[in-house]
Amino acid sequence: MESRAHLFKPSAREALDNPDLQQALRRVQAGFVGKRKALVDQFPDFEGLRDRGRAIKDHTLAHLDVYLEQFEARVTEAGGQVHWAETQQEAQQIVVDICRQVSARMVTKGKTMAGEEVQLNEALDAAGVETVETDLGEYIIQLAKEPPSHIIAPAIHKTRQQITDLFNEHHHGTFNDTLREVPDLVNEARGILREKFLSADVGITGANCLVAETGSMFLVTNEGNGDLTHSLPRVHVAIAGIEKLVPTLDDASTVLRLLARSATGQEMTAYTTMVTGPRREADTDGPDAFHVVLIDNGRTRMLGGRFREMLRCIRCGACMNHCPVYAAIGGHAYGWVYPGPMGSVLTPMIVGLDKTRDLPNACTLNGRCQSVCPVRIPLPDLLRDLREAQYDENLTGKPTRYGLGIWAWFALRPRLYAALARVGVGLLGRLGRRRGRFRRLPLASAWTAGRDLPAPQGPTFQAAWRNRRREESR
Amino acid sequence: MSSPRERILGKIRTALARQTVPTAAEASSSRLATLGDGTPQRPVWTESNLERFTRCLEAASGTLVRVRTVGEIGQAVAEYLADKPAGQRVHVAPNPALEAVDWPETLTVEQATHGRDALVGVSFAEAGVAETGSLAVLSGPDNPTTLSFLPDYHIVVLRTADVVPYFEDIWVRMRERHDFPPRSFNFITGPSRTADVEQTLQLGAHGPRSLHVVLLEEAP
Amino acid sequence: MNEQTLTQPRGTVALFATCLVDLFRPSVGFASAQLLEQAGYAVDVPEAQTCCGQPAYNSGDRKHAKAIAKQVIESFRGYDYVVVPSGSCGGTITTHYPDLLRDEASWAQAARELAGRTWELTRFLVEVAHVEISGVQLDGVTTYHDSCAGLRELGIRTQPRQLLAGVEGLELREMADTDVCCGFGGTFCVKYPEISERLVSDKVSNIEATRADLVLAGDLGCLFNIAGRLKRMDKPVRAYHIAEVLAGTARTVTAIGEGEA
Repeated sequence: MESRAHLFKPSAREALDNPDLQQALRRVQAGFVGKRKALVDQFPDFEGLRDRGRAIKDHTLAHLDVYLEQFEARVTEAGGQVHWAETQQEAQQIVVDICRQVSARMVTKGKTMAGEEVQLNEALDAAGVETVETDLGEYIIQLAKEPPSHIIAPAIHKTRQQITDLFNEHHHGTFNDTLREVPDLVNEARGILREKFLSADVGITGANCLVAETGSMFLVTNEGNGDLTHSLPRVHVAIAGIEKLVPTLDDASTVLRLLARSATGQEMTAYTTMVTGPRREADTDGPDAFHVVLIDNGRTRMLGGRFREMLRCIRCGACMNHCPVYAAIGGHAYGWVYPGPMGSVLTPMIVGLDKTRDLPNACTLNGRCQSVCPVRIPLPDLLRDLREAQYDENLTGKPTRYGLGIWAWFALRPRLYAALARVGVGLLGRLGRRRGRFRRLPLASAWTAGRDLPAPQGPTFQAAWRNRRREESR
Repeated sequence: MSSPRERILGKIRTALARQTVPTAAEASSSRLATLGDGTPQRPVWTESNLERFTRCLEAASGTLVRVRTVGEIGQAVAEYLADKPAGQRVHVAPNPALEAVDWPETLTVEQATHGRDALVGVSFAEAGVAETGSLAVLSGPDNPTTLSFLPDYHIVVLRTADVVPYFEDIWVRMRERHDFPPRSFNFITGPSRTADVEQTLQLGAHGPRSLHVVLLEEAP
Repeated sequence: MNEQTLTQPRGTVALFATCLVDLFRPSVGFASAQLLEQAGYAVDVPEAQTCCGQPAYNSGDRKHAKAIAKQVIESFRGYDYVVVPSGSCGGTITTHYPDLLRDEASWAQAARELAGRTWELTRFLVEVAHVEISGVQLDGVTTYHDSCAGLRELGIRTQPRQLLAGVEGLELREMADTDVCCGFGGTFCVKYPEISERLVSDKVSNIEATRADLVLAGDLGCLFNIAGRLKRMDKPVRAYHIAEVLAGTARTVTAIGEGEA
């Protein structure tokens, strides 16, 4: 999808005024946060597990070339094919070509954020290939023609009524218009998608983890849609960022322990699958061909510097589940594939700093994301670094720049600062003494729009302190 | 003109400021130095592995029955299906471990090469993982993958002797096998589920609506 | 320095009052100084202090942030301890100065040295001064907001609660999501006022649900945000900095945002 991150402010405002969305967002907090915490609390050494997760990813990134080549060799040995895509266009072309080679008319898709990132559906549509999202959440938003609002639960912003309406519109009127129960909605989608699974020519999935040791990919789902997607069509295409790699199966086990707990608050999802190559000669089902598309799309740019740490991300969504800003505005306001804290770092890195000015700033730096990140990505620090990059590239707004400049000029001249503070605070103090606060104040409208501004008590602390000390020493 | 592969690897090597590219052996020993060869952090339990396996499986909405011999499996399956609208047809994986099953005449048993028209599927698990109550079902001619995902009722036979504590234990066992890794190595933990509609848990999203384990005490 | 009351001080403490306390609420500075003096320390307030530089630092203006950090390092040399009645400013000095100045060896060293003797007030009182609050009375029910920087950068959670337990007549009733940001976030609250308002409204709801009379915290930034919203919504809950309660001055000073009328 095209980035709409430059529209952050109006989108956020819209989100705050959307009662359905607000209701849905409250469920995110209630659901994911509590379940994760219960499991983390009962795990003997979750902090140690996080350390190990970080160490595995750091080690892999430091040897990424070695492990990628090892991975490629193992995939090839297993009869699969590895493709390398430097850009979005290359990734699209590779997948379109694979589909054309087998004259594919219809493709089923498991949830893939990398696929969203390189706009795979748009490219396949343009090539005349029908794509059907099979993860229920993805399916719902595909019907609604919306981007995902959460990387784990893409349709989390949709209410049951909205889903009922969507199904009524798209499932050809076999049902009445009343609000339907959850089991009915799930069954309805199951029936429709079962047909698609059985008739698809190509199945496209993401990968939660790639393993260099065996040339395998792990796929984690609860619905089983990923397995139907890779097992039924003639061709399986997996698309994944190069940072998804880990060296060994043991390392994958650690990552999966972190992932399930951090993402959905499960010890294990219903289906955790390791796929290696296409069907073996004697197999009676499974695809004839297996392709892995390894995507760069800006990742190698991040590898060399401060933002390498972001490449540890295992896409669990815990940061957004614990982000108070995400909880207030939901995922769409962030304007691209990846919302919340991890998105606020990744989107500027991939889409560009100038098109995403709000993302690094729309954060209170409260650090709750970092405290739950399974691979200890210092998200607040990275967001601050992006602010610095904005400042250096003259992308910081003029009012902020000038305001900071003037304020810093005074802050670096303590005597002048103190003198000015005495005058200003003295005046404000007298004005506000009776009520103790201001409802409105020139230059402070952003503050006073939603809250009162407490008035200064009177003299500055510095002045009052010196006064008192003088009196005491007399 | 260089290929995307060469360009990506080149950018990685520039980013990592490579003088020389480490060998796989060097990477591996560096990994060992970083992570140590000690036990990774993982859950612990005081009950037996089998008890833990059962508890976790049931927590994931799976059900379980124990039988003493291979012969009894057929009867256990029939009893499980007795009160369900599943019909009498059972699609069974052509697995050597299930050859000696004594199927009751009430059931129509078909050897399955896939799961396309199966309402009830019976597969064989190579192992069970106590840590999470997961079944390890491996694809192969004797265990078609789609049989684990297309039926409404998925029944899996597992030997008690094959229940191991942790995932790492599975890898130790598997690395010794010449046919590892298979195309699809499925860890199955309970029936299919979704919470995509209003975060309400609903079983039977795309895969089986129920998962039933027949735990076989008899050694092979 | 008041030589009469401090015959044998346990050590010298420089109080970094913070810009908000200096400009808006000196009573927090006095309460902090009183607590430190009662604990036996000689307290000084270095004159050259203005701000810790966090607004510049968090806005990506590294040049000004560095200049201010250096000024703070210079002004606070020579004291045994530097105590800050704010987890946010305390975190800036202890966590971020060393990082900010990492490329200038001697300054980085000085920043680490300063960080090593800089403490947030409640943590200092509990972990260094081993203070037990006694003889302070305040009748009522209070709830406590954990400021994010204090909680996550400095590990402050039990310390204020331990100190508050010594206040006679005061019951601490925890609110839901006490560790969730109030929406202040420094310049965030004026850059994204609508989002900030939503966050602080949620915070106010959680405070109200406890039916407490008071809300306390260790950071004036959060407290201004919370009190400002409470006042705007005409809620009767009163907001104080924890130092004012511990020093016993909360009974004589009007709550944040309350007037004489």
